[in-house]
Parts: sequence; structure tokens; C-alpha cells
Amino acid sequence: MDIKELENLKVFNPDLKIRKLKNKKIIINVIYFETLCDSNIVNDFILKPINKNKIKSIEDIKNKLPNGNLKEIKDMQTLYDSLYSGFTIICIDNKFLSFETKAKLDSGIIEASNEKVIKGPKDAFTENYQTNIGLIRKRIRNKNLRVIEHTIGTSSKTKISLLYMDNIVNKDLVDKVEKKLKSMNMDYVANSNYIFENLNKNNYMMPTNQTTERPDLVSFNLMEGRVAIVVENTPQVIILPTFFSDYIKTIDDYYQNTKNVTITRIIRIIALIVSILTPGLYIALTTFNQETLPTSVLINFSIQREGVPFPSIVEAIVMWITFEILRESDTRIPFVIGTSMSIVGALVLGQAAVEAGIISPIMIIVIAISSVSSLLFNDNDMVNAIRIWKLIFLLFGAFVGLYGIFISVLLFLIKLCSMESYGFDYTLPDAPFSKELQKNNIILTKNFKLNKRNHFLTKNVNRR
Amino acid sequence: MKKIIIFIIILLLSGCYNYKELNELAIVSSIAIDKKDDKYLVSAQIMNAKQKEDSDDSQILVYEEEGNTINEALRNISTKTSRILYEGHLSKLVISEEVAKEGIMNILDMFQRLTEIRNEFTITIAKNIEASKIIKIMTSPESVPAEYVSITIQNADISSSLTYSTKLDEFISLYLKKGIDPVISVIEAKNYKEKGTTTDNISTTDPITSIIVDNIAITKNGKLEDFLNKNETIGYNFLRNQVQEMIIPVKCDDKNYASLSVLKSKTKSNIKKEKNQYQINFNIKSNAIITEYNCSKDLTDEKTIKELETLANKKIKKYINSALEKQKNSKSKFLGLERLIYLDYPDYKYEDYSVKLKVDLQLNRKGETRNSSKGDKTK
Repeated sequence: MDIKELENLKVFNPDLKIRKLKNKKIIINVIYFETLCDSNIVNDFILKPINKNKIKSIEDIKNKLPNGNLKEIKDMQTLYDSLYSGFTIICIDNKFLSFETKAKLDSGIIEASNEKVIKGPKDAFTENYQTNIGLIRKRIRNKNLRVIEHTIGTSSKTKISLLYMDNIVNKDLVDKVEKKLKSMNMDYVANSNYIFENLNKNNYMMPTNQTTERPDLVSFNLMEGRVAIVVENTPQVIILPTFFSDYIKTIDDYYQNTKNVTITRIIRIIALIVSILTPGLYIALTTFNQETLPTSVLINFSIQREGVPFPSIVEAIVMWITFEILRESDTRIPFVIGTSMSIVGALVLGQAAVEAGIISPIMIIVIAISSVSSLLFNDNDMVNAIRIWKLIFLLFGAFVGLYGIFISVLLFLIKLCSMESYGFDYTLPDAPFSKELQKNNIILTKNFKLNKRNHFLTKNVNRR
Repeated sequence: MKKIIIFIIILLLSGCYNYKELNELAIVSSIAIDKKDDKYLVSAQIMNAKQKEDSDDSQILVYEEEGNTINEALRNISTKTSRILYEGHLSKLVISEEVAKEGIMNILDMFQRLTEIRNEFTITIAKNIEASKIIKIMTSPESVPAEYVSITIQNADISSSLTYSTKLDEFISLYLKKGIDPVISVIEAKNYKEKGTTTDNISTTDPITSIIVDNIAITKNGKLEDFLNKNETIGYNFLRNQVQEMIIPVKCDDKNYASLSVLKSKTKSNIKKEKNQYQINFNIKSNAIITEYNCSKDLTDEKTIKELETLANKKIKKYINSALEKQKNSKSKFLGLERLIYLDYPDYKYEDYSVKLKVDLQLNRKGETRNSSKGDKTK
């Protein structure tokens, strides 16, 4: 047990404070995490009494400092544990005492509004940088959690910290990201988006990182061997790298019975296919390849199209643009008007358009199912990527028919397979195929969930 | 930017080849072919798709036109309608007896050649009536008569073996094979009247005119040869291993009958050659259940069951023998017996052959009641 060990820790934990107070002839070390401790408590109940009283030995501290939760610390492990739990450590002559000085990190923390889960914690990141790191530390009480701080922005001097688990993470990834962070040259960091756009050399349609407002998701991913970037004044924390298969998973999956997760994931995959494919496929089948549809379906469709003055492609694009306008307006207008506006938009507009004979009912169904399916993914970048691909499929389907759909599927797969996420293949774990990781791909096995990690990200420590 | 421009140009260069909107199509559901003087008289049944609310209109329209070829006649029909004739969903081809006798292969070429048309529509022969008349009859509950007929033929084939639905691809593949001739299902109109072609026909409980599915017609060199009756058709289906389900009525005592329902049947054949005599052995194994029993014998007794089984075997043999009898007197090789020999002995030159039958029907279950109530009373 040595105070110097703690000083080494300070290199990777800039929020660790070690104050040396001189009282008479002895030096009193006060050690605490400013992110975890309430500085008022530390000032009022530790620093002030130490200043006022005469202290000769550790016994004096025990007697004169008012604190309900006071412990003597005998070994390094308990010292770390209490330090990471928000205790303040007082050290005199290598004798350690701990005082509870936890900051109320929960107050002012609002419920996650964009990424909802049924089971699981409801807290979300705030604009406060310290609170955000505290929320992560609260979940991983371990000295291996490294917080590397950078300051980016010549004018804004925004604090940015790179978080990772030292014993789990792939070091190459950390070096790569850190190099990029150091070479970053901007005058102002408006949002975490500015950071990851700068990290990415290639301009891909699909996102290669995830921004989240959920601290549980960040700490889960840190334990998986990923890297997180906390940006000051941004309630979204960046997680990287992410792969295509990550977007069909949510943190909610791990909070539920593993057997039921498989069904949810299959539904998400179906939704992805439906949202990209349906408008294009519908147009291709009904305007070029009518022979592929069963007769009764064809009759049904042709009845619905009776009297519609526009070609199918115009119909589809009009409906699609209408939906996008509704979606955009729904995110911008205040909540109170929002509900009434969506009733007007969705119900009245849709119903009226069908009755007026401008749009066929089946087209409304096709666009609606495809748009609703794309909203299943809670990463907005993914939703937007799906939107663009949907349009490409639609155009190919409308101009060349089924042949065009095959071309665009190929195009989609080629694009996907050529992508790279911070040095890793984007289509992991399907290409390159990993048999082990299939246990957390479409299906999730209990054994994998409890005992294993993604071995591409962690190299050697893939056992929990 | 360049990429996007190239992308758009490539799309536009295709020029929307083969683009048709659904509401510009006249979906042809069935085609009927008759002979008028030296030309073909082709009638096309078109689905008149309308919203359900105003369903007083007829669900189908039939246009007739003449031509030296089928395709020419169809082109002539397109002058009569504002829409493009679309044959991709053709489900039934009706050929009149006269045309069929002259040669079916003459008219099938177009249907094979056009890329749009599926190879899976049913070919039927209209018996005792012009083909153009039979496709005008309104049917219910299937509002499209072509669908009605296809479904009815399929049901008659699957559940009672009373006909055999021949699709285009099967017809042609059997036509090309050595030692076998294809068969065609037959449809007839019952009590044909002009009124049967109006919506009156479907607004009553007792349709004035209806389309009924008859048995099958046999061909020789792609020409209609003769029609089979009910027993011969069942015999044909047994020998060709095409029985899926059927009902065998047997007389279980002097007055009363029992029904045995065949649920599974398999026909195996092998050829024996002794000197210059070929012998075809058919081994028919069927599973059946008792679905009706009106006699008063004790069904719990194994003897009664055995008795029923022998009666059923006799009945099946009777069906098959009637088919064999027909084969002897006909030039058509509809049973494909020569083909069976040819497959084992390719040097076979249509010499004499004999047929030996072995029928083994097994009764597995007796339905919901074990014994008959009549049988219980007399016990």
C-alpha cells in the first residue's frame, strides 16, 4: 500500500484528485474522484475540519471528522473499490481512511427519450461532461477503465475523452483513434458528430459508429472491447467501431430471456429487407413482371389501380415524399401540436388521397409498411441510409423491372462488403465468417451472453 | 457528381422497355379455339376487374375474332378493346372437338413460343359444344370461369380421380415420348342456354347453365382419338400411378353398399420377358378407410374387413380391366404400356405383351364409429 501507486493512476484518470495538506508537521493526503464526489461535501466535511483542527495522527481524523460512513482500509483492492464508488480517501503515513462523499449524479439526469427499452435502466447522458463520465464509471468500477482526455478546438477548447477497458481492448484500435484525435484540427466542436466525421476518412452511406444517449449501452460496449468517446456539451456518446450486424441488436436484447431475442432479431432483419425492398419490388412486379404474381393477386392489384391517373413510379415517389415530410415535421414541431398534425397528415391525407383516386390503396400500404419498418432501427444514421437505398431500389425497379432489383441487390451487397469500420470488416461476423460469433448474431445463446465476447475486437480475452 | 449523372443516364437509357401499367392490361384468363370455315375462331376471356361495390357488371368479357393463326386472331381481338391483351396469366385453353380431331399440336406452338405465357395452364376439350360458348358461361362462387374450371378439374383429379388435368408442358413432354400418348381433360356444358352467359346465371341458387368436368379424352399423334368413360378413367389413373384420393363403392350384401375411401395408392410395375412374350406386372398397393357402411355385418370381426378388402380389390381390377380393354381396341397408347417395356428393353418392336395385375387394398380405419349401428342392433 503506497500513495505513489495512486499517483501513477492519475495519469490515466485525470479526474482523480490528490491533495496534499500540511497540518502542523504531517502531510495529509486527500484523494478523490472529482467526477464521482460532491465537491461541497469534500470541502465542508473534510477539507474544512482538517484545516480547523489540530491533527497529529490518523486517530485524530477518525475522531474529529464528522462522517457516518468511515472505514479503515487495509489493502489496495478495497482502496480502489471505495475510490471508484465515490469515496474520499485520506492518507497519513501510508495509513488509509475512507469517507463517503458520493455526488448525486442521478439528479438532473433525464430519461432516455430517443432510445427506449422495456426492461433496463432509464437514465440518459446529459450535457454535463463530468456527469457523463461519472455515469459510465458508476457502471464499471475498475481501474482498467481508462479515460484519456484531449482538448480539441482552438477556440472552443472542448474536452473530449477516449474511454476504453485497458485489459480488454485491442491496442491497435486505441492507437489508431488516438492518432486521429491528436491530429484533429478544428476551431469549434459543435457536437459529437464533428468528431466521428473527422475520424472517418471514407464517406460511407452506412454508419460505422453509433451515437447513443444510454450509459448502459456505452459501458456494455466498453466491456465488449469497443472504444467510447465522450464529448463535452453533447448528450450523445460515440461508440466505435460498429458493424452492420450491430444494428439488428439492441441493448434491450441482453436484458431479456435469450430465447425470445432470436424472434425479435429475425423480425428486425425482415423489417430491414421489407423497408429497403418493398417499394422497388412492388413497382418492378406490377409494371414489368406481371407474370410472376399469382393471378388472384394481380387481379386484386389491378382493381386497386383502376382509375389512378399517374404511373406507379410517380405515385410511389409522391407518397414517399409525403411520408418524409410528415416525419420531418413530426421531429420539428412541438409535442402538443405533433399528435394532431400526424392525425391530419396520416389519416386524413391518406384516406382522402385514396378516395379522390389519386393514389391506389395498395401503394399507401407499400410505402407505409416500408417506412414504418425502417423506423425500427433506433440509430438515425441507419434510418437515413435505409432511406437512400430504398430510393435506389425504387428507381432501378421502376426503370428496368426485376432485373433492376437484382442489380441493386448486388450493388447493395458490394457496397456493404467493401466497407471498413476502423480497420475491421463491416460485415463481421458473417464475412469473414465466424462460427463462434453466430451465437450472438441472429440467435443469441445464453452461454455466449454470459461467458463470451467478440473475439475480433478483443483478441485474447474473449472469455468474460 | 459524375457517378450520379452516369447512374441516371444508365437508368434512362433502358427506356422502360416492356413497361406496362396494371390498369392498361386486359388479363386473358382463357382462350377457346374453334374452327370456322378454314380459319381459326379464337375467343379470349378477359377479366373485367372492377371495384367490389359496383359488381353488377360481368366479371368477364369474351371477344371473338378469326385468323389463319392463333396469334393473328389475338391481334385482331386487340382492335376491339382499349387495353393490351396480356396472356401471361392464361390458365385454361379450351379446344373444340373439331379442332382437336384435326390436330392439337398445330395450335400449341404459339403457346410454347411466347415468353410471357406460362407452361402450366390446363388444356381441355369442349365436348358436344363449341369452345367459344363454354367460356362465356358465368360461374359462381369463382367469378372468373377459367379459375372455376381449373379448380374444379384439379379437385376432381385429386379427390376422386375422375379426370386428369394435363398442363401444357406435360402434354408436350408426353407427346414427344415414345410409346405413350397424352390425355386431356374434358369439359361439358350442362343445359346450355343464352341466359347462362349473363349475370342471371350467378344470381340464382340453381344455375341455369353450368360447366361440368367430364372424364378424359385420349389422343393419337396429337389428334383427338376418343373419350374415356368413368371406369376407364379411374383404371387409367390407377395404372399411371396418379390416384391420390378416391371413393370405391362396394356392395356389401344383396341390397346395401359401403364406401371405401382410398387415401394413398401406389402402383409399381415391372417387366418380364419369356421367349418373345413380354409380361407387365402391375402391383397396386392402396390404403383406405371405411367412410360409409350400410350393411348389418359385424365390423369388429376381421372376416368382414377381409371380405370388404377382396370386394374392393375386385372393383379396382374391374376399373383397370375396362381401361385395358379400351387400350386393346384403340390405336392411342394412352396407358403407356409400350413405354414401360421400351424403358427396360429398348430393342422392343411392338410385339405381343400381356398384363398381370396384383391389387392389394388395406383397410386401416373405420372412421369415428367402430361398428355400424345396424350391426350393433343385430348382435
